[in-house]
Amino acid sequence: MSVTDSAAPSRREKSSRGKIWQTFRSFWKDQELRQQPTAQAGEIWLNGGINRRDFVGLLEASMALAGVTACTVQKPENIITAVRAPEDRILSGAEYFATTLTKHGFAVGVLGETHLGRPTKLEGNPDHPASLGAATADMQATILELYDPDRAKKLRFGKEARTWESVAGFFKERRAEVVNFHIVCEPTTSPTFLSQMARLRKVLPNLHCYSCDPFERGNTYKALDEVFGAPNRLLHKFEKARCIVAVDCDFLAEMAQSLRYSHDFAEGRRIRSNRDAMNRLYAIETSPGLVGGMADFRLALKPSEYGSALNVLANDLGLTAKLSKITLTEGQRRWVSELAVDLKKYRGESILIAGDRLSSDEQALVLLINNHLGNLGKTIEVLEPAPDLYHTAEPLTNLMSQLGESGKHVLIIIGANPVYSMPGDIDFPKVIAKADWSMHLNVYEDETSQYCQWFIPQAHVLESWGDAYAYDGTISFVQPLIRPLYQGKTATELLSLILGETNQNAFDVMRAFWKKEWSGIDFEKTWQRSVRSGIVFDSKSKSLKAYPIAIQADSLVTSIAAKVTDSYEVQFKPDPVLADGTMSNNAWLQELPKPFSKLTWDNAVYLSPKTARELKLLNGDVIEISSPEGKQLVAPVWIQPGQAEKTLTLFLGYGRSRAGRVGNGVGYDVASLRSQKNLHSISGVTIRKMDASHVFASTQSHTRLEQNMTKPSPHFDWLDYSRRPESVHSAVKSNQPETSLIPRNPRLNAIESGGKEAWGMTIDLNTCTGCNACVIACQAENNIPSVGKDQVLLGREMQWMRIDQYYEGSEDDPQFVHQPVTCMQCENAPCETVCPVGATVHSAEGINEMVYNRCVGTRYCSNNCPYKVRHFNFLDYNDMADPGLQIMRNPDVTVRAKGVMEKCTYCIQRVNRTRIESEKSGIPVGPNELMTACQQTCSVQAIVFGNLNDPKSGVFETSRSPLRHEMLAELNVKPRTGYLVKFFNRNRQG
Amino acid sequence: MKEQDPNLYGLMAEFATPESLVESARKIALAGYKRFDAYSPFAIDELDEILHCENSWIPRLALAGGLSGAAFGFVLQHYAAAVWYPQIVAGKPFDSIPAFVPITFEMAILGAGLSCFAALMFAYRYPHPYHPVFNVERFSLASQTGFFLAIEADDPLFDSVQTKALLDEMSSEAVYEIPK
Amino acid sequence: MPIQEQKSDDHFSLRDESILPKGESFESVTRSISNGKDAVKGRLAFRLSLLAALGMVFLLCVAVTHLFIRGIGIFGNNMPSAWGFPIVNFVWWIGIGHAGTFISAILLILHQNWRDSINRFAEAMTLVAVLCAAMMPLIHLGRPIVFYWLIPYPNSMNLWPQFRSPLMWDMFAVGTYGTISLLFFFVGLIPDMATFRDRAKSRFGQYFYGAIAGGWRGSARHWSANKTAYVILAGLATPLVVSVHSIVALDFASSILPAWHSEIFPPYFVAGAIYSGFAMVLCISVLLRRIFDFGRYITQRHINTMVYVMMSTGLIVAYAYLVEAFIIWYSQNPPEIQVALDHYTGAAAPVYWSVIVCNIVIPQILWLRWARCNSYCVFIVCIIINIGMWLERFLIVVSGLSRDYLMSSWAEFHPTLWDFALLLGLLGLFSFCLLLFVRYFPVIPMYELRSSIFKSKAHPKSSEVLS
Repeated sequence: MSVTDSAAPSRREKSSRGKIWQTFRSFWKDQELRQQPTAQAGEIWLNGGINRRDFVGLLEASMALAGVTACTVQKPENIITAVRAPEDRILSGAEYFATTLTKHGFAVGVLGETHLGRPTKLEGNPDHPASLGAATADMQATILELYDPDRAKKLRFGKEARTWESVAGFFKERRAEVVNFHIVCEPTTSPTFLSQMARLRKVLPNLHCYSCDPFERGNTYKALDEVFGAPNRLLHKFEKARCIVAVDCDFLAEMAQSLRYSHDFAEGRRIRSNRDAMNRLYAIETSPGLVGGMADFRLALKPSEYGSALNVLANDLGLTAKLSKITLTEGQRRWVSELAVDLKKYRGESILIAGDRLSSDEQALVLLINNHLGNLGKTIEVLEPAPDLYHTAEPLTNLMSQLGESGKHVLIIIGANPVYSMPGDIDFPKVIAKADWSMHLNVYEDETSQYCQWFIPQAHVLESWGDAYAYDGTISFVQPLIRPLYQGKTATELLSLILGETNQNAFDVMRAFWKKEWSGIDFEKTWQRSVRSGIVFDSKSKSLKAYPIAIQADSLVTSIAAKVTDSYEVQFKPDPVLADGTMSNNAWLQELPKPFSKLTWDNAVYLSPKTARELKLLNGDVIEISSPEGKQLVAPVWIQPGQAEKTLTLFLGYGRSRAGRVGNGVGYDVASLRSQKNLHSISGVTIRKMDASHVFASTQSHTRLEQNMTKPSPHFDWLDYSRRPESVHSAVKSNQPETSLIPRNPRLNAIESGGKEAWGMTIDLNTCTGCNACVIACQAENNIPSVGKDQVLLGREMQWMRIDQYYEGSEDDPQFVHQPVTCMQCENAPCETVCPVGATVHSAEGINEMVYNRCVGTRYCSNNCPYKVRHFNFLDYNDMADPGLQIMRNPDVTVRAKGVMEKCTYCIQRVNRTRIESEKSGIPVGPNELMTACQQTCSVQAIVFGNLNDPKSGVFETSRSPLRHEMLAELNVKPRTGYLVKFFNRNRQG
Repeated sequence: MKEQDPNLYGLMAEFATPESLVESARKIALAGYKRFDAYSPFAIDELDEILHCENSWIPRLALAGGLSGAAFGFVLQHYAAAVWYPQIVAGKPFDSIPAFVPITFEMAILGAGLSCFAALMFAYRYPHPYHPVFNVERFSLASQTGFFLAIEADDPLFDSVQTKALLDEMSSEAVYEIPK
Repeated sequence: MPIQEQKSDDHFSLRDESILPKGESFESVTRSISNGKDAVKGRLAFRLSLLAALGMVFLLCVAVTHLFIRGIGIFGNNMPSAWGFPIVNFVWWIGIGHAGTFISAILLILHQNWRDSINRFAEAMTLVAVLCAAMMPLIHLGRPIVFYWLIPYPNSMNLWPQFRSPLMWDMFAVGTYGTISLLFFFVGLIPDMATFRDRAKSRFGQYFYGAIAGGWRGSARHWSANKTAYVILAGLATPLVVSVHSIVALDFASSILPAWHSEIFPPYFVAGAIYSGFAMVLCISVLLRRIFDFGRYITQRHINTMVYVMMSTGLIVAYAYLVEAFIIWYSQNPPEIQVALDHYTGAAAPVYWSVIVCNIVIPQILWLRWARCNSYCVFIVCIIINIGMWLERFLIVVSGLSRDYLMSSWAEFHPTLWDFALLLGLLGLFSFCLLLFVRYFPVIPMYELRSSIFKSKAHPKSSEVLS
């Protein structure tokens, strides 16, 4: 929904208000938690959501991938498979190639699974330090972006098609004249690219380079510079920390190294016995993020109050005696003081981590507190500087003034989309118009491209050669999984064209660069090894032993003094799924339920229940937010328990106008309210309720754990457990069923049946962060379609995995529990009894199998499933004829037709593939060789799958753990998937 | 025996009331006739005895049909679930007999019903579109208001003259010859 | 005893309460019922009804075609509520059919002579209702084209249906029920078809009715066999009255859903079935009396007796509601309490209280004599009962599904226009078939009336003759 749309609600929304279907809507005594804005979508229900389905049909339909089939042949001489040797290429099998994706310019390694040269799935690269085999939801969804039919296909000048050679000619002419070159670039750490930039600077004296980062992470760089006097970097060692404090920092989700940090964080939180220690997590944040969801203690603050909290903390810890003006309430202040007391116990064993959105002074203060507590060098390594575009680039704001100078100007925008992503006070189209020539290199023709004369389709990262530094300085290589589908070019290739070099191939440029870098060693061997594994081994940055601190806390405290306001505040945050909106056209991500709100296909303005009550707002009500600068934004409201009072959180990444057919017009764009001055938050906004409403598609109604009479997820206090484990064990046991009198099928291998294979899974609720990566992994692995907002509204989303969200405690300060739910593979599966055709039956190994071809679609199995993990193809969700999708789909998994039930089968195709290969080779399946897609991608290793009867497999221990409980165990369905209970570490007296 | 008209099926008497029909039928039976039939627009219980209608085979057949239906139903289920293609369903034993009861029961009813119906149709010789009695014009009243009694020519006692006289004696409205 | 005209059925008179038309003869019965069907043809009400029903049948065809092309997604079904209107309709229609079988089979065995005037159209109603019902599970399959996979037959895949599924029980139960009802109806129809054959003026009529009559000539031997077989079939249909809806109830009762898993369902469904079935029979009776002028044969006494039966089953239904609530309270089973609370005060409350009002509160008016004697009143109350019973099935199927064990998977059901098109279309099909039946078939079994006349007034005389 664009801004104008929300101001004047569409006819559909208006006309459907007050229809009789409202009588069917559930009403909650708890009005604030009422989650039924969907009751207004009368017409969608009346036509079964068909109309919008046509729109969603576009996302996966009509992929006119001209010549795609001709492009699927890789260059075997160049790319090197990671896991299996290419010499004995098996045509039917999957091959894995290591490559690298980037986040904020930093590398995260992935493995691309390909079948016959067709990339089908991305997984984390186990060798890569930032991944360790895990991958985030958006990384995995990159595969869908590769095949997106809306990707830019044509190189053009104005509206005319041009060739790459004509671009070369253009630059030849420009080099002959004396012109100013302005290169606007997305954040990058690519050594090859940066070296090209350095060469370009020498060739073109009038070159200006700008960094265009929609997240504006400059404060972080600045704080490091201030504190160390050098661009050192930090490496947090969460596995060593006993006490962690995150200040508006979602280190589990928003950072480039979040996967690694999640992994390390979970190491300190995995409880298998009462002897295992558990770290304690404090989170100060405005809107619930993954970190807040995991926190043992959570404090919801306005963005303007972070400074006060840090000031109090520094004061209590004795770092500074100065106390500026404090805006905290008594309770909040007590919270911080208790934190300080706790931190004192964990000197050298704690981590304070500050988010990118904090001011540089606040971040610097956090660093000083860490230093004060002796954490630097212990739990936080200080790394030597590494190349980063940020250090050589000018701020984008300079561009305007420099374009105004005399002379001719060429503006080249590489990868970035400033027209969309820059704050609303920069009129970027006008900036582009100032340049004499403008050029845009991008994967999509987006908001920026339309104002540029030249447009060059960019090669997708999975079609490119390249390199980047990981967060710890490890050099990572990007290698293509497929030849460019649309003759796209990489940034490296464009730069070498500008340089006028004859060697313009990215592969050659990159090889030449590294040949020079690695002079003196066996280049070919290192190259082969590095490309094969995706990283250059042992290239991690050195950690510094000595790092003089350049500033004093007292000076910082003055500058972070709170600007006291009692007015409403706005915080801008990257969307938890779409981040900056670059991947808006990705249906998997659009339909991925966001953590906590479970919203799909929308961004909303988050409000706390109390604030909403004050403003008399309900979910879906549309408000107009006015900034003190006089700018307005119209957006719908979502009531989010745990949100800070009087604070509105707005999410980036939506309201795209030229994202593509999937992403266009979804949600609202925050740009109009954002400005250079107020990049991350605004104080003093006013709110006006509009006479309109918006329909949100949330996949779960908000649920307080206490309200759910069936108690799906018990949790305990860790200290209680470590002292009196038996009480917890018996409490866990209490809801587990007694032995049943009903006779069992003798052929089913169960946990008692000795060495026979019996597959099972445990999910550790104590480490699960609710990050959603497993959901997308499952979607990619199992060819699960996206269905569109209207179908989600009707409760017909297809993801086989979902993460249930429960709240506990008061709505202002709730505790959060995530519970990933997928098919439990019940031994006494209730779905199986009721299927009249035997389309769902059990394997002897204990998998509840789904025989798609036999399914007639009675849907009785779903009715009888107590966990509701079955999904039905109500309409033709899968486009069987589409060439692009045919390429992308996993050939090992049947694509389901209309009218067929589907569900998780523990990745039966992986089980079978492993078994077949084990039978062929005669080597038994290894204890942990077999991983389901969700398990494979889980950064915190919450999911453990394997043979329950193999003492060496990880699941052997967890399935017999006294902490394992079964959801709805009282039904005696004997689920094979169990949960390890969640603990909170809230007892500070211990 | 007198020579019979080969084209004569028999003789038919029409009666105004069911009572006279029953009375006449009784008399004809007493006279020793075997191959005669009474026709009425509704069932008259008294005629069963007179005509020696014996239908006890119908319920027996129905019982047999019911038992076979039940047996078939059970064996079918047992065979499919436990012998031919046993599949693990909900962890239950392959031959989970309680779950087979409803279909066994329904098959019993179906078997009994179908065999009972088949027996009845056999008793009617259904469909039997042509019958000589239809050649009597007034016989169309047999399905409405008329009561008829027909003595067939191949009855051993049948004599076209004497039998007609016998019928005339009765309280019949009219006596017709039934051509074949 | 003075013989009163039957037309005075609006004001109640005890002496009016006879089951047999006074002063009727074999001839008059035969004539008026045979002519009745032809008289119907010219009536404007009939023509308009037929046209309206035809339009609704057309709507049904459009809906089903659209369904086959687009898929189940055109309905409001969603993930917790994977079953919606089609299954509600299925249970409702099957229930309606039960009254026909009850009247024709159980009342026959119990020698309730008053059933003679109403059993034929009640049986026809059963057949059409079973047809409407049986359609529903078929078309609501995700892949209706492979519905035959539910039928056990040897096939190249060596696959058999899964007989533990209540849906298989359903298929056998409904199949048996439909078959036995059809046979029963057919056996009873043959003699009357012979009457129509013999009275037919057109050649087509002679052939048409003649083909069905199959050479029936009213032989005493055939009558005798007919009597035997008819009673056996009635005996076989009797357990079906109980078993079919019990098995339909097992669809729900044998599941593990908190709202469904309840032992009380089978008897409660049967009582509800007969309740709604009698309501439908009463509706049709009143219409036949008023619009098609069959008041002579369907008398106030019939109406009264049917109301008594209906009200008795209605009380059983009310009792079932109470017991259900009691059991939930007594068991203290949290998921069931959630369901109950949802019914009493939650999202399903409007439906629940409508059910109570429609099925329990309003019908009690029929205990009053004047209400029973007022056709309008009877008709309206019966329609309300039918709506109430439909809502009750909606409550069980849809609201039950939308409140599962995990709150996280709760969601509301919202019907689409296609759901309503299907509902209307089925009503159209039902009316259309019944109107054709009224037009072309004897609505009241003539031979049974003739037999009644014979037995009531001729019996003493015949015994004199026979002695």
